[in-house]
Amino acid sequence: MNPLSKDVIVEWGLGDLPLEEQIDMVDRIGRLIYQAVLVRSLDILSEVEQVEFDLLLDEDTTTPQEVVVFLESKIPTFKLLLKEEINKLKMDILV
Amino acid sequence: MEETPEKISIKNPETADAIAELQEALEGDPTELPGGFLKVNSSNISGGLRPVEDLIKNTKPELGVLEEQRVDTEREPVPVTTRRLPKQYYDEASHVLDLHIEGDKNSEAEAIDFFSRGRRSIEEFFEAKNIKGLTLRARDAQTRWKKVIEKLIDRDLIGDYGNGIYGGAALRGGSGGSEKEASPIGESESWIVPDDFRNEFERIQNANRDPGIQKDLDIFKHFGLDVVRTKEDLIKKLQDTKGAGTFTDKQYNLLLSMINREEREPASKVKEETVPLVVENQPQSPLVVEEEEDFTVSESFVDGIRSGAETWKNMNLEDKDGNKLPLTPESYIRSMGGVLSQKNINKVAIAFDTLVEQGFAFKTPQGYEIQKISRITKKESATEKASEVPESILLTLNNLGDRLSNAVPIRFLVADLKKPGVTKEQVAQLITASGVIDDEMKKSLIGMLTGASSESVQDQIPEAPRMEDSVAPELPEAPPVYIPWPQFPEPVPPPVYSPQTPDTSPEQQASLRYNKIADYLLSLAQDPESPHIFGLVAAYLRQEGLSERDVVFELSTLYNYDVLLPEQKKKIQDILDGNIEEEVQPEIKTDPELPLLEPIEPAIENKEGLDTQLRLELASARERYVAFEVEYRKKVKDGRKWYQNAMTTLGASGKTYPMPDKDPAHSEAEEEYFRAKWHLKNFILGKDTDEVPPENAEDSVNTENAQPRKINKKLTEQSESERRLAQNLIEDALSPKEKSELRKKMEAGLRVYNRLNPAARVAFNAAFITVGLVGLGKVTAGAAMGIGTVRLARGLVSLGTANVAGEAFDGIKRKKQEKIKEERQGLHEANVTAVETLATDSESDGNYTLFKEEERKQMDLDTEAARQEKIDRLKKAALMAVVGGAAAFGTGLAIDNVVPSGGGASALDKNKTGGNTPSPENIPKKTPSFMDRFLKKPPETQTQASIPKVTEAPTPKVSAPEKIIEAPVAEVTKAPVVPEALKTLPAVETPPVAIDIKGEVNVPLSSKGYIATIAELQEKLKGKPLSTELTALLQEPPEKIAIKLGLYKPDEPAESALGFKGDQITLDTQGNISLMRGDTHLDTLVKADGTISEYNGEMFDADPASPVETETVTPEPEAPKSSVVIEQKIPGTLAQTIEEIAVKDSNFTKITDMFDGKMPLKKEYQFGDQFKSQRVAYSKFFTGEYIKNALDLFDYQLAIPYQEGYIHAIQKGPDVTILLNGEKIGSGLIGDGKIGFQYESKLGKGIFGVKSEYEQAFAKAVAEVEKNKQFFKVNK
Repeated sequence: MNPLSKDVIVEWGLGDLPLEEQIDMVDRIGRLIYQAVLVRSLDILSEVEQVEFDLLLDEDTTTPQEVVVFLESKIPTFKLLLKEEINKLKMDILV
Repeated sequence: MEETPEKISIKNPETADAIAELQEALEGDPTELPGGFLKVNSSNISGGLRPVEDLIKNTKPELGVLEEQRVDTEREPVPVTTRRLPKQYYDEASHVLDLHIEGDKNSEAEAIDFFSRGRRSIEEFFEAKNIKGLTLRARDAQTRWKKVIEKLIDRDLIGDYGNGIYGGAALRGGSGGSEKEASPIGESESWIVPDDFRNEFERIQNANRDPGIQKDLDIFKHFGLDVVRTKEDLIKKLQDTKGAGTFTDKQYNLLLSMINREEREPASKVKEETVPLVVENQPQSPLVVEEEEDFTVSESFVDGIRSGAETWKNMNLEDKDGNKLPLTPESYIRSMGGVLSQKNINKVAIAFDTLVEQGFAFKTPQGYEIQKISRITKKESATEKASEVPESILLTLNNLGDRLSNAVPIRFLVADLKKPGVTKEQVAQLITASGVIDDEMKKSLIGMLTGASSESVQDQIPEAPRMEDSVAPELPEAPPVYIPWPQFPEPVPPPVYSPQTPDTSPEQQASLRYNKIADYLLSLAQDPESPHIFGLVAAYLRQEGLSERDVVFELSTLYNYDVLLPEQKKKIQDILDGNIEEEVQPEIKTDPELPLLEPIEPAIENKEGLDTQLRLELASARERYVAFEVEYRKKVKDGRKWYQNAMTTLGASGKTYPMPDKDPAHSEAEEEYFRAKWHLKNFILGKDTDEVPPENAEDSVNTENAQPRKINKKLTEQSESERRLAQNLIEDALSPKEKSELRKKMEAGLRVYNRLNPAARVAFNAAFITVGLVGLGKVTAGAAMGIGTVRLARGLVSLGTANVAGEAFDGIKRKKQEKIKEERQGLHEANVTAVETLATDSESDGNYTLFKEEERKQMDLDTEAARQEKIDRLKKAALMAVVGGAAAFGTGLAIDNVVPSGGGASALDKNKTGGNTPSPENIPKKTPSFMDRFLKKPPETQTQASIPKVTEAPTPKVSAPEKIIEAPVAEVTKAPVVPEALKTLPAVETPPVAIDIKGEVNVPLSSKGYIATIAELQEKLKGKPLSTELTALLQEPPEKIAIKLGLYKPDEPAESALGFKGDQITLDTQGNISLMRGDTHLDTLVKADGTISEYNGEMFDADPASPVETETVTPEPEAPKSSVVIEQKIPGTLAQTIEEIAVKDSNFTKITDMFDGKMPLKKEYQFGDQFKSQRVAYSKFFTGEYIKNALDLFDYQLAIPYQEGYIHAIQKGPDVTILLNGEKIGSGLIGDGKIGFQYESKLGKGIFGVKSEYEQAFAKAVAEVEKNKQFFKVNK
């Protein structure tokens, strides 16, 4: 059973790939976007927020979801920023 | 007798425990720690922190006392010598904090981690307690000190650490060491470091790309520029730093000349001052020493070296091939982190000799041993005749094997062999000792030395160098080509880079070659697998005025890292040798005006050339873009600082800094970069590379008109590589500190990402990478705060982001509404849960049209089953939020969901009790205050009233809370429940069991876990014809079967098999019982003949101890006993519980009085393990009410976990009230940088110096407030 939704498969043109590669590609895509978003967010966070962010990242139990939630709570334009990064990557890797 | 100050000594040899002890000490009552000073206990590293001590004595005497304590690690860590500083330091001190960091190699990492994590709290701790230093103690690794001290310096806790902590400690140390090399502060304070020196140094620093050297440069800057007071001292520091390989000859000479305020020192003079650079595996060479130098070194120094040498025996001094390196003074110093100066080398060598004479065995288990070193004085050296090394040996050495990989060590060997006065005997010694020549070659060389005719070798040398000659020759039959190494050319005037220069001088040609190598490396860097270092080296090679030596050094790092393929090495060697100069040279000659990269244009005729050209264009565009990006970031950083200061002044400190617009040139560079990427992309795709990207290409990705696209793996790799490169370049342009901070954050961020298991990662990404992400944050908000990150929750609350929780709540509410709507239409189809379907926020529609359309089509086509899939996802997502939120303290979300109106069953509980879907009304954003009912109405009726009626929802009647790990797509089944729980199974409405046409029996994995699934399987197999063995097995209790099959291992921490929703246990037509995931056969658990094959897949801990679990205080009497339900249940609802466990003050009138201490937890429940549950329940209630009712009333609330309950420090204006589970235990004021607290004395005090439990809680509160004071509002 494919753990990826149709949305993801369609959106990223993964339909032709075998399941294993789909998952691999999703991981790579996710990592790229996650990194890109992190980099951009770090520019925006205030110093206090950076400290908070440090604390969050230092927690052994922190998950990427929490990171995203945190950034979204601090950066009003986070969604826009994320969309930009997603679209940028699409421009790079989609045919 | 000097007065001994009070000490807190932490002597636990286990580092982790020591740190824990320290932390505990830090959290103690600061009033007990008045004043302070710095005390340094050194380790056995021959002097330990002596340089620190010297430094602080000389530069920051106000820091107070230093004490050195040597430790003999052969025995118990008993101080063997103690040396104290003058009394005046002690007089100033009243307290010593003594941190011992001891233990194994992990200590270093732990210590660094400790300081990294605690950098703020340590500083605050210092500040709060007026402690101006920290005592450190390590057992056996100088490098630990280096890093730890660097950390302290970074944070300005130590101003300087003397003339080279790296080696100074090892070399000057020993308790009896009396040398004083630290800066003679005050001797010549009028002397100022020349500006041109500073400028040149900064240029060098900015140009450098090597992280290790950057750090050294930082340190030099600190000590060399900011602290130094005399010219001589600066020269000394410069020499020491150069000795460690930080500066090249050229840089060193130039800087030295600037110190002397001369244009340039004559080469001969400069060289006299220069110490030779040494590589680790450099063979020992005769030492040139001052004639008048006193060869005696102190006994303590020798002792120190002995101790270090003992350490060395167990160290891994290895070259890149893993060969053990011999112990030389140089390698010793390096291994001890020392400064590699000639003086130090001499001293260590002398100490070695002394030890050898004393019979000390230097031999390592690997058989390496120190060799005695010859010494000659400078005078002898000067009068010595020329080296006796035959030219043939030099020629051979210079052509050995892969020249570049051996270039550096061989160059030094050759240099040593050529030194004046080197005798044949010494030549033989040097060759024999070399670590880079194999035995065969050594024999050949020795043969040349002793008998072979050098003339005959010379005769065979070809006239010109050829590429094929780079291969190691078979000596002596095929003598190699001698390509002389450049003789460390003096700096030549740049720029050879300039295309305007009509004639290409040798230097210019060399520069072109270097640039060509850089181009080649950049092209290699396009490979996604290529290491970061390619870009770094390429950037370095782009610099002007590099000498061949500089280049070789830089390139040798590539060899050291072993990152080049043989053909790549050959190509680089070709370029370096000038063997492909012809390709470039004519272009330069015919058209000198062409820019640098033009010469290779003709090659574009073919595909390879075009590829190269496009990549170079991309590199160029990237470089330009990065330059702007870096500037922009600086601008943002500065602007943000200013903005926040301004906003704070205006009382609007929470405002987000509006990002400034990008400069048009920046946008242009960005566009250019984008186009370059686009062209390369087209090339990779075989399209017309001149094709212009569409206007607003990024925006067009998801427009309605956009065609569905496919992913391209090659492009993905290219993108990964490109992004990495650009990011590296951006990082490299930052200051070391900024770079370090950025890297640290990025690494931490990625650590978080990498921690996810693959399944959870897929789940996360599936939500994260869709344009319609919007829902992700909302769904996970509960989980985010539920993980127990009090700090996060604190941050969210403190910064006024409670609306995030509310928003999240709204999200859940909306989804639940959807869920109800859809559930009414519902059919059930088990499917993988993923949060991505929650990403349907209308805000994203604009860019999501294409895919929304697709989704709609799918929805139309996929019938109700697909819709039900969504329902399931929504359920799961909502559940996740609730489960996550249940653990949250400091957020309203948790309470709103876990404790709904009337204290009835939580949303979670409802799910447990049968999936009865709560109506939207039952999940108001802000529930009515519980206290209204608590004060007026019986909780029982409220509870009943608040529980919605059971609907016809088709979910099982009894369903234990599902354990969800990290992300919802990987729906992890609940831990196997204990047998008692299973007895209730008959009441469970079991899902339908499919018996297919082949006669297989499939039982979907129960959300209650494998034991329940087995029970269902047993049920379904009743009456089926099975083998005797299988029948016997299935007659056993399901828990036992689960244990037998390896699905449940009750004695192990990870006791439960991990399963996913949709997994099944199947009995096939052959009578085998298997695990299936979809159509995939995972594992055969039992064969028809009864043979058991234990499950060997992933296990997890279904019942970790965490606040999440203990908070599941549920009124469900029939809920199965599960690991997520605390053992000591509090009967009844939370409302009932609160009534029982809390007490109201007579002045209590409204809920907010609770936050003034008027409705605390009863005293009898405040302490003691047996009352943890009461504290948990109270805290949950308290926090929920705070969020619901008091967010706007107070400035800040700090929640401090304490004995399963919470201490709350609640601020309003300057006043802070400290509550322990609602009971006021102290109050205080926070003013402008000042904090003062008073204990609530009516609670009583301890006797005989022992604090009462309340006093301990108060001390904890004060310490935490101190630590977190930046979160409190500052009142002026």
